[in-house]
Amino acid sequence: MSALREFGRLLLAEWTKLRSVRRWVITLLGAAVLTLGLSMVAATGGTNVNERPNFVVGPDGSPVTDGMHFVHQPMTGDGTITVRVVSLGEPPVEREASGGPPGAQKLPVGPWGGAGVIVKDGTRAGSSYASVLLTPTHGVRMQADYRTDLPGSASAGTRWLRLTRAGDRITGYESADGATWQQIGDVTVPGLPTSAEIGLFVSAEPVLMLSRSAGSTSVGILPVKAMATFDNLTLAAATPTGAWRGDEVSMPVAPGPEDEPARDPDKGKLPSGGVRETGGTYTVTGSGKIGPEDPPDDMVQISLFGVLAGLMALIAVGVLFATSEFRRGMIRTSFLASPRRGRVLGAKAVVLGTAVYVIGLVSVVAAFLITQPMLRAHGFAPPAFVKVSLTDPAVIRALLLTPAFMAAVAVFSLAAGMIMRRSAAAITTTVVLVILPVIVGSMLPPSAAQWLMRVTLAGGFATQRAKPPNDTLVEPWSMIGPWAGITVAGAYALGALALAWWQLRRRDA
Amino acid sequence: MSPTIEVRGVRKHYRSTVAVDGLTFTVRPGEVTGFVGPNGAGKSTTMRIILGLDAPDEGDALVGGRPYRSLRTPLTQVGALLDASAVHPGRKARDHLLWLAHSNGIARRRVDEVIDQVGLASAARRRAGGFSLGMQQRLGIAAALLGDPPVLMFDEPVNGLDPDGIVWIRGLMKSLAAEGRVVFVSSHLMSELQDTADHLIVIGRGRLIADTSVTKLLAAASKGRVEVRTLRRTEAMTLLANAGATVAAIDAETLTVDGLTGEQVAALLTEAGLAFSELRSHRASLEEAYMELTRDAVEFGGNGEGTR
Repeated sequence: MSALREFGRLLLAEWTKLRSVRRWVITLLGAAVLTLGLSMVAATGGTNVNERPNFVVGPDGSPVTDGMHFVHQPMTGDGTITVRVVSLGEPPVEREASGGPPGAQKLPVGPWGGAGVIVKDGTRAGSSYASVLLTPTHGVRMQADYRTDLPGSASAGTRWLRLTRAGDRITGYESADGATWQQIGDVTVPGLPTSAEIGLFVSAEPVLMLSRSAGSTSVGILPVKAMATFDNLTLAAATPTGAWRGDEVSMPVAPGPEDEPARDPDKGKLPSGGVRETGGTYTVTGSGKIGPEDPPDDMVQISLFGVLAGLMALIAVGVLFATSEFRRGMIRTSFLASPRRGRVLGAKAVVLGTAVYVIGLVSVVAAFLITQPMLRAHGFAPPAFVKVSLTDPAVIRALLLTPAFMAAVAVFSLAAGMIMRRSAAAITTTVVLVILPVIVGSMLPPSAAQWLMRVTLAGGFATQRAKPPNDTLVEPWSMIGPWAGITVAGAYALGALALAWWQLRRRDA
Repeated sequence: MSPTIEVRGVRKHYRSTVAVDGLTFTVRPGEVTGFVGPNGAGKSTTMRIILGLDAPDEGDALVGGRPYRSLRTPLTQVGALLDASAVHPGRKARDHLLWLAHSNGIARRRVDEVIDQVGLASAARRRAGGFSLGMQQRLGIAAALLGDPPVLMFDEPVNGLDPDGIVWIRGLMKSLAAEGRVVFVSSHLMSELQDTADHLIVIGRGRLIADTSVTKLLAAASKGRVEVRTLRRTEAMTLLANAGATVAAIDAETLTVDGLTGEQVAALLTEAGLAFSELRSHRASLEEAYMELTRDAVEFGGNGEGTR
């Protein structure tokens, strides 16, 4: 008798056990209904991102932010601009950052701000551009049209930068001494007109101050100014070169929220920059981020919100599938039929996990298909929210991994039931392990919350996300990636099974 | 493989209680073997050890020459009824037998066969939670018979059965033994095994007291014992006891006397002027023989009726 066939018989036996108790079948179907129902309720919440006055889209129609002090002149056709960035830092008389609300944590700044050379379609926020820049913490970069970001060297100090335009092809270079040049990359910017503005710029990404309290996250945006000095500025162009002029590129100003009267008249405005030239040395002060500005909300995650409710029913079934064996000594009947106890446990886990995976898959796909049109009708629409479809790789990943998380929780509750042998204790323990880290995580600062999600069962909720990890959402699991989430949930399920197996072998039945 | 159950030097304790204390016996096929002892004597523990559910501290137990845990399709080797209520109350009787059949690769039609065999056909599609004690017992027996095994073990099988059921199960056990199977039945009441068991294994406080055929046991218990009937019971008991006999009252008028012959008893009573109406050699009942055996082994203070 092959071991595989023997295990197959056990699977059939455990499947018969699972499907022959009507209450369990009803509860499993109830999990699907709860998942779908709560997701539909969640999908009735809307957003007005697209109607906000400070909403700007880039050349590709996606949401962006644009802000800098731009020292420029027109250039028609091809040309090359070269400059040496002598220094980049904060202006000397910058007011001390207030630090935002108590307990707020500064989020790390991305690569979308610094000092360098740029060619841009005018001074309108959101227009097409290509740039080479020195950033405070991300070295030298070449960027274009808010989405393209090519890394150059990691140097932080004085650096020569060069940008060459040939048609719609822009090439970026950097150099330590102005003599030996390394190419950073070349990009095609189709939206750049023949007659564009070329020059120097300084920008600085605002710092996000994040504070989290029970059930809410507040994000404070702290505008930051940067000051850079440039020299050795040369522009080689076919058209005659004119005078440099400084202009502010900035986002439209958003009115403050109605419930928060303007305590600070400058609130919401970016600090304005300026330029001073003395003997060929330009000192430029600027502020603002030039880069993508997607709303953090994840439409796929919202579509799958009901999984939280479905899990409660699945935990109950998982625990009862185990603890019912210990009522009235049914486990003895099971072990009489198959004395190899580890295999009985294994068969139980495989049958329950598979059944839950199938039910989970059906319910999350249904929830996705039903709630996406609802979400679009409630403001989650382009341009702020790109339409997601069932065939997007990120969506497929979320719809395949989320049922795996549901199965992992069900198998964990099975193992908890096997270890504790009491339904109430095992259900309570599993629910607490799933819910408590979410509650605690929504109150902790981002670094602690992220760590918590990496080490607890609740981290598995990250499987619902289609967007990259994000620290600014209320849901703590949005801070880790889906693979980290399924890894921790799977580890919990397997760890609990191993403990149950070890105990089952030792104890008398 | 000849069907047998072998228990060899098994010892098992739970915390400070010694449940089984060096037990050795063999159960042979072709006869009903009763496994008797007072409550707490270690019968259920022994059965669980034979079935691989509990691990012995010492010794081992073999079924057909192999430990139960090494059996690949155990239900086709050993059928056991331990606790008839061990069925999920929400599961239909037929589904309960079906998962058992699946687990050992037993054909689906066997499920319907055993349901008919135990007389549960009309209740097969009802939930076990609504079963009476007797129906649960029949379902448990159906589960034991499912794999058509050569070895059968029943722990207190008549519990909860109505008189019809008791007659039925006795007949079933006898016919299973007649087919050459091992039939091993535990009970704490010897009277339940009267007319059913051919062989007895008697234990008390986890130790073997007797491993004997019923015929031999009865003969031994009756041997040399005299039964005397007298209206002056108290005086007669004192007199005979003083003469060195062991005397026991069976009822208000009847005594059994050990250690004196019938002639000696008659002579003593006559001499003392105690009238007696009947004097004969005693034929022990199984119950009595058992009480005799377990007198020293009773753990939970039996009332000792008829033995003192």
